Amino acid sequence: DVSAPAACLPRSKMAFTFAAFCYMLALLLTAALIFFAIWHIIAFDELKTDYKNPIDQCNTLNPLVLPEYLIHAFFCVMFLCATEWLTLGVNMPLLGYHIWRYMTRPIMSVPGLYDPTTIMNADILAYCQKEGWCKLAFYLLSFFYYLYGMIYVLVSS
Amino acid sequence: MPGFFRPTKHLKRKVHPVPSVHHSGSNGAIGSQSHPYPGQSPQNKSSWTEAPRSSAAQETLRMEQLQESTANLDLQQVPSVCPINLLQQRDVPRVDPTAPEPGLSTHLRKLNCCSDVFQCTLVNIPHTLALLKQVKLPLGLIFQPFKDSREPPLLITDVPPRCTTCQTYINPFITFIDQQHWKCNTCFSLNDVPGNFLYDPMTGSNCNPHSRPELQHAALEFMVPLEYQAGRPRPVTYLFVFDVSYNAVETGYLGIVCKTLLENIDRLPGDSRTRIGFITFDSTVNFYHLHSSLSRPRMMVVADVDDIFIPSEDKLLVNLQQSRQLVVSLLEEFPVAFRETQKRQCAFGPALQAAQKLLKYCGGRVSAFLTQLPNVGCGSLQPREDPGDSTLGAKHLAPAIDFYKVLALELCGQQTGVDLFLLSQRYTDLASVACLPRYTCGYVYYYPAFHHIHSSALVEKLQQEFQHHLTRSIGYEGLLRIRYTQGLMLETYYGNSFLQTTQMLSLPCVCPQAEFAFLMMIDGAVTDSSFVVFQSSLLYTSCQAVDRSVRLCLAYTRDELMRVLIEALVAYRVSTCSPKQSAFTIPHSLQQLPLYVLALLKQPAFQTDAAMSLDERVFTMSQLMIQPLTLVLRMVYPDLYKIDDYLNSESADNISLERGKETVKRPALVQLMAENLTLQGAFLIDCGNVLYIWVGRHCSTSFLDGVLGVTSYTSLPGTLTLLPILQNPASKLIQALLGSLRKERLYHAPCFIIKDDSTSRSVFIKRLVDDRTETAMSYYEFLLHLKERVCK
Repeated sequence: DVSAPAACLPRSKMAFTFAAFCYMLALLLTAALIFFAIWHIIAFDELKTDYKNPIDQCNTLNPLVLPEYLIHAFFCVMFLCATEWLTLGVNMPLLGYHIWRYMTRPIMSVPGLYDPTTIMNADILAYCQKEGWCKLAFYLLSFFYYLYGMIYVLVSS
Repeated sequence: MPGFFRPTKHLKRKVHPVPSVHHSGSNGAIGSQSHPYPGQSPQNKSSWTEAPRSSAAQETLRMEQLQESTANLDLQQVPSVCPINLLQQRDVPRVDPTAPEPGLSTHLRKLNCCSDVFQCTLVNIPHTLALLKQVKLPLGLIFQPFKDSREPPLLITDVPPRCTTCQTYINPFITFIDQQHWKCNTCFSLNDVPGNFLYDPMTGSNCNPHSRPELQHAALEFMVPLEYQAGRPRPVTYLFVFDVSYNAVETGYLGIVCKTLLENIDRLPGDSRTRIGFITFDSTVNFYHLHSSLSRPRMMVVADVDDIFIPSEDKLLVNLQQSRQLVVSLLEEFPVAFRETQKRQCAFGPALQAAQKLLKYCGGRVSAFLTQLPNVGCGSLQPREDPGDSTLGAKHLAPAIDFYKVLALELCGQQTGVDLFLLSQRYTDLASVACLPRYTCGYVYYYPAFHHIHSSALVEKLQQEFQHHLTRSIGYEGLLRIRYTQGLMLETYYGNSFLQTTQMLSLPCVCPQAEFAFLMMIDGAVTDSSFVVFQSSLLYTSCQAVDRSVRLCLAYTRDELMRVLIEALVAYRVSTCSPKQSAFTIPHSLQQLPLYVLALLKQPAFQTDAAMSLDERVFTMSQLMIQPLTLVLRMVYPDLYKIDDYLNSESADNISLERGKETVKRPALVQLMAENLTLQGAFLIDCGNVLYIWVGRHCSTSFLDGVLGVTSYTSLPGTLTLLPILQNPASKLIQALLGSLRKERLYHAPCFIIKDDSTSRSVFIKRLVDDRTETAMSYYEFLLHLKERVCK
């Protein structure tokens, strides 16, 4: 593994490879992604129960969209460099979904996905809520997967 | 055209195909049954939800039950579900939009709200979502909350009691559990009966709670106490934003508009605190100081359009009565002052931003005039129209930038409404700019190719519409809340407004013609009661009153249209007839549906020929969406009257139209077919936003002379001309008829004369929906086509 910064270490001991570093970083960033997903779920629930105004809510939600997508894209790039093909394969569909979602967003001058005039339609609201829950589930599962992956990589060097 | 079989007798009975919830006030109850024979909606306002056929066991059981019950029931007896074979009965009677009645007992029907305010698409509400999906018809409400209806709401002094859980106002359809408690009919919770319902302090005796006005009337209006008002209501503010570029001066609209405004300046709704202001724009934005301390109005030019700042608010928005002289002199100066301008840029975006900043703390109404594509500063647009585009610009029907939408939302938050007058000869990207009125409860007035000399019909239209715009009654800072029985859910809404919460619309400036529609879905099952009640409450500030008052009132597309129609008919067929029957039957209440779908497919908004500009297409689409129901029905399927013998007042219906204090007899309606046009007659067609009089070749000279002012048929001009207003009784009668037809409409409908052999004949002929054209089928052919698709 030529990209390993600690390639000079003897093979028999635990080796801190680049892949392990990637997984560790992924763990931390997935925690942030889980936080974003929970924020989305709560925000749409507030909209549904008329607790908040759609204009204000969209102004809080829209700035979070691109950071989430960029963080996830960063994972994919990292795993590509670490040649962790299985993990990369698991993340590719979500990357594709993010790209599609951002391409088909309504015409907006600010970055973001949510338009206050259409977000209150029942079908869009229901879709966004479902999306939030699915993403939460995915990020939770990937958290544990990266944890497992990190330990595996650390141990099986 | 081949001769088809014509029935010998005409249907005399008026049919009521549009189901309406008769709310004789705020609330409307619709009987809910597990009956899949709903009424019809002749409108297809939006894309419809996909409704796959459900095959749950519970469902099939219900269907069987139904078939049993229909076998015992003689269907001919029940008028609304009696099946009709459309191919044999070709004379479809006209839709009367104030019908039909929901399936309720007569006692409840009397209490229900007037149907011209509140209407529902289905007469009976299905119990479950599966059943609703099976009938494939939408469940929706259409209502005009601020309408001057024929049964106006009752004014009462106190605020009616409300349910403690869901805040619904008490209404005629609640049930009393015992002496002390009442059950709310939206959330089914129990509430205490307030003291003044049981004990009348005036007479000192117990009274029957049912005699209280809140329980007798379903439309109420009352003033709200101070806790609803955040401070004293703000004064009414009118702001006029005029385009004064070279293009604008070419069209010459400014003179007409200023003159109309001068004539109507004292009739602007408001009180002594009413304020007024003016902004003009070309390549810069100009403000006008009109404070009463000045002797002449002063203009201030802000050249930096990228960062607009407001010079000083109190001098720009002035009290109308105190500064009246200055305002009058300014309006007289406007047309003259900009006559020599050569500026060709248009800073519309910055002007609107200035308007928004100016009205930040007080709200009000902005009337904006635009004559070209905005091209300076923020909000500038690119010309997107491409005449050689084979997709007819389908992707350009949506806004290009969101600047106007964001601005509209900000204006909505400030309680400012914007009305847009578009007077352009070229492409102005209506799709983007129309976002402004759309989310602030305003309207777009569109005058393509306006010129003050060459387009006299448009000049008259502008004058009439602007005058109506200035003088109509308005409610400010409106909030419309809709409540409905548990088990229903709001899916989408239609109408020019902004949905603030799932049940509340924000209407900065509501006018009597504003109509809204809600598409509902069943969420769960509506089983707890046998009625479904809808209540709408509009909280608004009236322009004269110092208090706020609440009005309670208890209503890829062409293929989509065809698909939905066919599915609905198939669903009916499957659930009633056995498949061996080959007759093409349709329920009585749906009999107009194929006709209206055909008419809708022939509408310009759905046409696939490329003769329409992009702006016009966007405008006609938006008109179908936001106009009140009666007007859309006329736009889609115009009314055709024979008027040359109407003058002898022999062939009139018994329907009278009202105009002020007099009633005018309406002439007999005729089916929209060319074979009904006789050479000896003259016919009037009412298309909602325009009227045409078609004159046959051998029309009687008394008609020509009296109404049209010409001596013989040949002296009529060969192109479209406006109907002249003459001083003889025949002309007066026709004008009275036109006036009664045009009453209550938002847009003025000019009346044109068309000769039988004129070059503009096609304009009239293409409105005859029943006939075949080069690109579309006739009504009979359409029925045959449907029959093939449905009965296979």
